[in-house]
Amino acid sequence: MIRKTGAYLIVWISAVFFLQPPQARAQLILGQYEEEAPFGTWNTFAPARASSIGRGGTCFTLAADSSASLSNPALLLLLPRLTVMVNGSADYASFFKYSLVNTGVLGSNGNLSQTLYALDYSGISLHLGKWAYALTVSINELYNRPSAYAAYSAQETVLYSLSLTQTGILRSFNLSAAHSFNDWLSAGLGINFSVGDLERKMVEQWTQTGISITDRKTRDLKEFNLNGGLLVNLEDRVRLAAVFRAPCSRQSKNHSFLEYVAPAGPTDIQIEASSVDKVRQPLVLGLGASYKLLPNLWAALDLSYYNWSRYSVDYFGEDLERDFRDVLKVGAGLELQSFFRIFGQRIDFPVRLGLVYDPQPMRNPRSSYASFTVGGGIAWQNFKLDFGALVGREYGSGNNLAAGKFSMSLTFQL
Amino acid sequence: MLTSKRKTNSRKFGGKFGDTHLISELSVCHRIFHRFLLLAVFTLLSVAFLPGPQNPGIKEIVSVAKTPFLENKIRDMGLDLLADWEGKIFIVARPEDLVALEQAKIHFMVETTKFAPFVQTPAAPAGGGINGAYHSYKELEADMLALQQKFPGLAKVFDIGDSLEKRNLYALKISANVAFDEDEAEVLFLGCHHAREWISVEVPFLFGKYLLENYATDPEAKRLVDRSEVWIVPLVNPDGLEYTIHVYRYWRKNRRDNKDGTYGVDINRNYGYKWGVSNNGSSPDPRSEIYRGLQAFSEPETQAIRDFFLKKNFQGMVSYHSFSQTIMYPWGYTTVIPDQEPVLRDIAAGMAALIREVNGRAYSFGPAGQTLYLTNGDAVDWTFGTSAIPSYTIELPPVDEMSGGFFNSEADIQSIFEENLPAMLYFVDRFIREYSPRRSSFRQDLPERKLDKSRRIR
Repeated sequence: MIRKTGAYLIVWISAVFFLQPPQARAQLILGQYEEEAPFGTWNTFAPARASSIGRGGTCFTLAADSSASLSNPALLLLLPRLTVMVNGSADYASFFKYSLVNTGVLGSNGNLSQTLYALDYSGISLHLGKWAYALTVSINELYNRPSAYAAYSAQETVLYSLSLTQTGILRSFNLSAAHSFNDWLSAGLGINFSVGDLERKMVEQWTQTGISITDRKTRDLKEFNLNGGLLVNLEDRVRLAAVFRAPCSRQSKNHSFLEYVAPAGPTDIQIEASSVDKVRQPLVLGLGASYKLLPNLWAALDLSYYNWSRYSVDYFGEDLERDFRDVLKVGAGLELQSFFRIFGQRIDFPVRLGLVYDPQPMRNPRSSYASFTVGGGIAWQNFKLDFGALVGREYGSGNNLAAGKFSMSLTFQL
Repeated sequence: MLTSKRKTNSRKFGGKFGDTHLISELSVCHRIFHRFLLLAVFTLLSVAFLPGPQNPGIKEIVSVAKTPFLENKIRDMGLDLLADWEGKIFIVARPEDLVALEQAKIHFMVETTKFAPFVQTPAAPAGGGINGAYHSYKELEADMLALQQKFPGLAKVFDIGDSLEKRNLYALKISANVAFDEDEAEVLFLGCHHAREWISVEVPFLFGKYLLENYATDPEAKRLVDRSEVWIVPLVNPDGLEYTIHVYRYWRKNRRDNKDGTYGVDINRNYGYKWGVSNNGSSPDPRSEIYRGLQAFSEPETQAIRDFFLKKNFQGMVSYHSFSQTIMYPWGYTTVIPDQEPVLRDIAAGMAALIREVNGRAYSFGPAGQTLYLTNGDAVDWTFGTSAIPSYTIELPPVDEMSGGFFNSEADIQSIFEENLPAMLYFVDRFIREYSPRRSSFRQDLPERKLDKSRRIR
């Protein structure tokens, strides 16, 4: 048994470190030019995986796998002795104004959308007596935008073209530990190290003259932060939680490269700059509660307070203006645990439903997502397969933006 | 010994009597020598005839439109014709030829850079702001306030209004006894109506910096500062400039949301003299690069300049733009020449000559409507039309798109300023000389708006 477990461990630890996805989620930005806005939502604390998505993203008091380490590490104590999980997602978001799209240079008739697929999480947890540990790797933020291309042609010859691409990712490594003080109180703490990059590139070309302009801006990101939580278990029917993510300073190594080339000139003008700046990430505080309505039915509620008014961005030595307000994100959901038997084997299948209210930090325009979520799963012996889907609509910007996510995870547990 | 040597030489280079190896060696030596000689002659000729660094007296290559009339006139002038290409006649012109062309009122464009050898401009070392050695809005704000702090008796920064996105429009006043509005000639320099014309921020700002930093050591700078009030608004369109830095380098207009999916009003088509008089020199279409807005002075940026201008008593105004190396005076809205054209032309010619003296770079000049294209609602027509003061648009380098268009290398900022400096000094000096005091007592200057750096931009 120990040898078998060891083999699983090796396989899954390999997955943790090597099966990292290329790109996943995408977020919108409303009437602003901020390249650093995560794709999907600004509120990226406690990124939801398949099981929690289905119940409205609630993950402060209920846990199904090691991804609890990213929201409330104390929940690791509720997991079996060993869990190993990988999660893949398809993210969808629509955009209207971003960068030079619909801000005066390129116009679109409607919203532009993007769907990204990725293996966005892998993690392992170990529960040993009063202690539990987790090691996870996840994609917490993406900075992609729909690519834009415009061209002017005459007689099937492209005379002018303009293209815009933006990609980016923030990958986080989390190491967490949790301790149970007694039957009703436990606490956990996680250390997060995040690295990432962002690239925005614009190329403009006039074919006949050969003139081209290239504007390329990149950022290399690095961040340390702490997260943690307390869990109170009352009579096995009620759970209460308090969680936090500490404010931190994200280091951003920025580089700007601007080039004008006119071969017939011949002219090649380059304007290049670099800087090391800071992005101050806000404090996040959360409260969670769940209640066992029936022996197999849980109701959960999560409240997350984001201190966005303290958010600040230094960029090439300048303090960029970000007119942000604090926001309170709300998630609520139900989880029904059921099972059936087939060929004498018990098959568990949870069913989940939820709602999410996710206000965005910009003061103007004020904007929020309202989302409906649904999920389910199937568990047999040591394996679980979960899926969750979120369908959201944005209110406030007037652009009727949409966001969606489908996530699936495979968990092995002992 | 000599005989012996000759013998040796004879044996070694003995030509027809030597062995074939030696013959071959001799032949190779001759060929190398001849090639070297040819190369040297060619190099000397090249150095003699190819254009070198631009210094006073060096020839320029200029073009004039190819019309039968001009073709004959140019031939009669005995100019050195270089090529006939794409509807233009290219001329290798000496400085005196340029003067002759100006005197003959033949409009020409300097095209020297088209024939220059390829030189990749080295990138300036990184370390400036995001746009390198050019100013962003905040860098300019900091630098202007730093000048005020460093030269408290000579420089004062005024906040003359806000942009659409609530950025401050700053005016830098330079004068002895700067806190007072003395009875002196007042001259205004404007920059960056058009967001992408980054060099147009730098030249007027550097002029202010030059006057202040040389006040203590340069008698000429001191005289100008003592006897005039120089006002510099280097950034009329801060919102647009920030957009060019962060989003799209070739943005021109301000950041007005036209509520139809388009953005921006061309600030330099929004002034109130002959505003919208035709759709040739401006456009009623919000999609256009030269959209003039819904009405004259609809934009806070032009309102600020208008209100500021009307509170003062300027004797001359220059609005910097890029590109094309041209000095233009009214009118822009029509090809008709104003009555004051001789004076306007005289000043423009003076400035062009001074610019050319610095490094040989020629700026053409003439009435705006005739020289470049028609414009209506621009700053120069408005200041001239309402106050009848000499007003100029100076289009800074480069001369054309092939030489950089709206781009100038960071290394060129200082040289472009330096070539314009004598013309700027001349411009101020001219009004000092012509100015007759209107009153004898000091009076308090513009009511000062509190500089509010904490205001949110959006």
